Amino acid sequence: MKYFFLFLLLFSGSLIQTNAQNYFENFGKIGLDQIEMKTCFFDPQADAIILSDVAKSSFIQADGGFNLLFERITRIKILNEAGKRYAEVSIPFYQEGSIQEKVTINKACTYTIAGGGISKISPLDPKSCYVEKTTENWRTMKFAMPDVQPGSIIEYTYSIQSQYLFNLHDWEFQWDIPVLYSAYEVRMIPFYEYTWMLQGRKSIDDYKTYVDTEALAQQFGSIKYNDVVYKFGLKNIPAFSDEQFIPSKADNIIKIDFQLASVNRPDGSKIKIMTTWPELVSDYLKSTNFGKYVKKSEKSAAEILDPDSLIGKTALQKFDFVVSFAKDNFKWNNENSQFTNKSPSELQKDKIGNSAEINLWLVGALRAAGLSSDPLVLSTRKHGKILMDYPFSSDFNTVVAYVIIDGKPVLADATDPFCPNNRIPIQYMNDKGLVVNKDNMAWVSLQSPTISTLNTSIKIQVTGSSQQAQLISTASDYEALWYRNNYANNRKDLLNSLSKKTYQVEDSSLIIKNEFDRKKPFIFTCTIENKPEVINDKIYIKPFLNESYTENPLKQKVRTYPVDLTYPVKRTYFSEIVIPEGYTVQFLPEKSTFTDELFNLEYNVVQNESKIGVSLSYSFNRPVYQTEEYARVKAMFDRIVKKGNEKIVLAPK
Amino acid sequence: MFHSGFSLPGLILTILLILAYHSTYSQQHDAELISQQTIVEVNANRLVQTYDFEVRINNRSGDKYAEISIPYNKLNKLNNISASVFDNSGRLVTELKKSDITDKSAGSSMSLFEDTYVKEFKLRNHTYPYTLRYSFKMESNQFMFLCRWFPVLNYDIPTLKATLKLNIPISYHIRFRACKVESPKIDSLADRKYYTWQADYINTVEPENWSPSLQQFLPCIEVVPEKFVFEYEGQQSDWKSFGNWHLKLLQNLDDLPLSEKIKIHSLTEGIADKKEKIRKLYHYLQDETRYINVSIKTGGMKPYPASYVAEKKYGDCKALTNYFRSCLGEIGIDSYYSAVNAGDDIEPVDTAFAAQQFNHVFLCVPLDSDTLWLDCTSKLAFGYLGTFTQNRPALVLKKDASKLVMTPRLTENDVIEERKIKATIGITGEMKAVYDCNVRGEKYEYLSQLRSELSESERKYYLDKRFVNNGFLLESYEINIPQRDNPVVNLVFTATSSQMMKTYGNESLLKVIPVSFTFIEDPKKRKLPVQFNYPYARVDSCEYEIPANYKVSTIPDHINIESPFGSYTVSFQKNAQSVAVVKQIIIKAGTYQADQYPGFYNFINRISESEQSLYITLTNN
Repeated sequence: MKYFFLFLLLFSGSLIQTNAQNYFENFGKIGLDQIEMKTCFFDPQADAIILSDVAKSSFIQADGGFNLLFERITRIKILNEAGKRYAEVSIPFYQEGSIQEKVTINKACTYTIAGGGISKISPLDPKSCYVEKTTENWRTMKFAMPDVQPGSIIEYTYSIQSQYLFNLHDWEFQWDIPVLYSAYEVRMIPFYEYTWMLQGRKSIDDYKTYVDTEALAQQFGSIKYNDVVYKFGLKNIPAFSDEQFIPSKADNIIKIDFQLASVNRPDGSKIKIMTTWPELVSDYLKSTNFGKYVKKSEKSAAEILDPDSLIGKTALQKFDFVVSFAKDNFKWNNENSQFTNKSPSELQKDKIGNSAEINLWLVGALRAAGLSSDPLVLSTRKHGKILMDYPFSSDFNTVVAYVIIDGKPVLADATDPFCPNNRIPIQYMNDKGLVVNKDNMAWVSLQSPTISTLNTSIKIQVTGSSQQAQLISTASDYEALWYRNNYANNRKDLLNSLSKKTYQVEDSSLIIKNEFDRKKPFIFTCTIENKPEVINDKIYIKPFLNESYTENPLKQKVRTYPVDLTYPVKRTYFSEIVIPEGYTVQFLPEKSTFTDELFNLEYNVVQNESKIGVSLSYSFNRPVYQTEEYARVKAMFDRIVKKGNEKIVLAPK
Repeated sequence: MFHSGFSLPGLILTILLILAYHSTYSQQHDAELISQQTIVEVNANRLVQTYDFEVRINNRSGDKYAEISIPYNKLNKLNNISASVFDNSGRLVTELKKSDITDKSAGSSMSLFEDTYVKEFKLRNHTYPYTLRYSFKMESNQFMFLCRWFPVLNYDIPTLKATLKLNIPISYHIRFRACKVESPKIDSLADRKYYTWQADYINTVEPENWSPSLQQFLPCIEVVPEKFVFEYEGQQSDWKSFGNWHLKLLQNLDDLPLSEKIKIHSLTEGIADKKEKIRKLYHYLQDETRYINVSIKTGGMKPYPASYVAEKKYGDCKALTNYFRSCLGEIGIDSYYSAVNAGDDIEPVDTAFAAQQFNHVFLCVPLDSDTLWLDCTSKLAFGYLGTFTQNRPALVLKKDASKLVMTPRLTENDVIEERKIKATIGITGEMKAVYDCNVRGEKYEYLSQLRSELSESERKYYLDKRFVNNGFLLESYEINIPQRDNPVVNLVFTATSSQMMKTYGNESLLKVIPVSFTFIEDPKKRKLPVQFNYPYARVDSCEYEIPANYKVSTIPDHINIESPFGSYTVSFQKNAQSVAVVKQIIIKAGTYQADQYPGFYNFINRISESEQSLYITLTNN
């Protein structure tokens, strides 16, 4: 943990003369190298380059306290037509109650480059800055730089004043275009302590810290102090690029985050903001909107869950009953929260609630049913990963129930009616969660405890000029959840998805079973009529039709980020082909197996006089594959594509 | 040799039998608009509209219809929002509280900024079905429409009953346009006149492949006052009067700064030909300006002045068109600001209903022998209109002479895509195909945009999606526009595939690279007409080089299909160690009604099936 004031950091990096103040003072002083720059030396495809992006945060005295002042200066070289989009600037800021952030555009200019120099300077018209009300509390200041041509350099500097000291501005070093230099300077005062964490890099190219004795000492109350300056700089940062199956941008972009750790009051007392995990757990339990809500839920749930009906039931049956009760009676309002806004009795009356209201009620109800259950707080995939070293409740954003059944831990959630009772939704499967229990605090993996399966059986018969196939697909666990999320109540889309595989399907032949029954696999069957593929009188049959991948979903040669498949999966395809009268088997694909610790693939062919049986099964044993494993994942998909699309050849006798 | 192990097929049969019991299913709509009522009242030039909705939500996917978002802007006041939810037995469950309503900018991804806002709320119930009733009121003093009534929540949601009531002073003159709605009932009482329209939408339609835009199948009423005040006093009894009002909005907006005037003169100095002068200035416009939409005041109909574009070098279609009109005016060339309903689909314009029916503006420049149409937001070839504005009426604004004029249509020659493909097979059976394509029409527009407006990774992604066959891996590519004012893109790329050649014993099949079509509905299921807004035309000339250790045993027969909808021909030529395949596909532009659909389907299906079943048979030497 890196406290600003408690000890000095040992590494100091290479100290280049890079003073944030210089950048602010050098507005408009464009070097010849930047004027003449035509491409980015480490990314020749780039549409624009961030020449420099420099900011500083400091504390200024206001209204007997402090405000945060964030100042930034950004200089961008536009290289082509597509790069012009970086001349449109959006600055989000916050306004709610006593927090009224204010944005000021200090200066902004476009420099037209011609004849080896700046031929024209076009300042931004302040009247062309617009404030959009993005949400109830968020505003966005928007402007478009004038007269931007390929080759132009744009430069703008703005500041944001904020009363919200929790929110010391984070800093993203990385953009989706290359950055030549990005630096952040934070000027600390003795009254606030923050921790910081760096993501995406192991160290900072330019790191420096010192007490600013050049400026006059400041005074607050009776205390005199000098700013302590921290500088973070990175050079030549590659563009952030989105890739397929990427977990979340927030978890991968190179950035530095700040969290308020404590407040040191002038009277010498200290308010600790950052605590330890055990303290955090105890805070959760004391909270009216968390721990106390669970206690109340236990009581009010006991009143509506008929206790007699539970007598004689096993722990598993009780669990199932209570989770089903919550899912069937309460509706999630699509909001994730770890805290409640209403009481359990209000939830029981309204029957609609956020994730905390529903799942903390579930914890209480499970206890009322005699089971051992605790809340488990977690961060959703979109919200980013939890950093174990930094105990902040704000890193979590939702809660589920942690239950012990016959000595085994199970996670349960009641917000998603399609999710099996002993599973949590996909969005919640993000690394680890914290069990909120004073005596048994623990980190629990949120990954799927089992491998989800898909089984597809196909029976193919060729008669005359028609090929008829009967297909049954059975999806379990998260595979079933995927089907339900896409096709439950949406038969038409399922039919469309079949048409897109070039199947001719009679509408009435499509039968869906267990459409809404989350406890059972999702099953559908249909009859597919197609013309058989006949070439030179021979019949070519693709045993698995177009059920398996027809092309490799991974196309990149190299990969920067992990491949996130969300859950481990095993898919099995089985096909029975009836050999038509008068035909004989001319060609059968080869058997094949592949097994290692990451994947499995098995392909088998068997034949008797009248039938051919072909099966393919493959599994991805892990939910996430690391960048180093990318080539192996890609090769695995190649294998699946190859075997999944093999054909059988039947020739006339 | 094989006796056990076929247990699974038995299981298939059992499951099929069980499932057969469930084969009856009910097709239920996610939600229904039970009733909708709009009351429109004009009193002393003040317009008051009240809206009432009763929506039944039938299932979880219908919940989105209980998320209400009401747009408004500075010109109309939105108030009296109320809403309540009733359960299936009709019991009141919840009522909307003021604190449940949020307010935010409406903004679209197309605009930098718009001063339009939305008030939003959601009210739900936990069991289905449930009913949401909500109502609100809009008031305004400046308006061009009394209402644009569109009593449908979504194309797949039926409306059981909808009523529009209009209540105006007897001396107040209106004009209206109706689509799928019967004539109104009209009553007069004292000094007021009352109109009542009734509509429903029971047989819902859904988009189908190549179907026209759905709007024309949904009920709609638009009512305009004959005389109105919107920035200026105006009249919309015919296109001439509407055009005259529109021209008032453009008055005095040609204020080019002196420096800009000098620039324009210096650019065109020494050019004698009128068209060449325009071309020179159009290139200047394309090179120096960019499209940015900032929409404030006057409902977005009045352009920013020419000086705004001259200074900022950006603007929306109105600002850029006005600016360019001013530039041409500066060198003495007359041009006309023109409005059009732009889009890939050609939407019907009611030519008899003079009103604001447009969403885009461009410039009409009469030349001695023909007419130039210039889209001032476009970076495409000089005078190229493209799929966005071709073949539809445009309102050309001219003092006392505004009228609708048809824009030119795209012909087969304008859209033809020519591909030369050279495919070679490696020792492992992998195909490497080098494509050299000359692309026109919609794909020219698409590729031009890909080339200049997207980043490298996006470009590769979209190129792969649209131009590279399934199963092929894009290795390298180049997009070029050989001549700026010739609407052709040259796309050269190399792709590889291990799935094109398959060996079965000592025989191998080499698949002819197919042209893929989107799937097309069976005539039994098809409901809507087919509309090709412009023709489809392509010629593929492919050469397949056969590896030395193989020889060609058979090639497919020639194919020649002629139909009223177009034609399809494929010919094969067997050479010593290669096969040449020439393919030509043409689909004519036009609208094909239901009775023609089976023929159309048959035509497309034959092409599509043929494309997937062309193989060259090789034998191992």
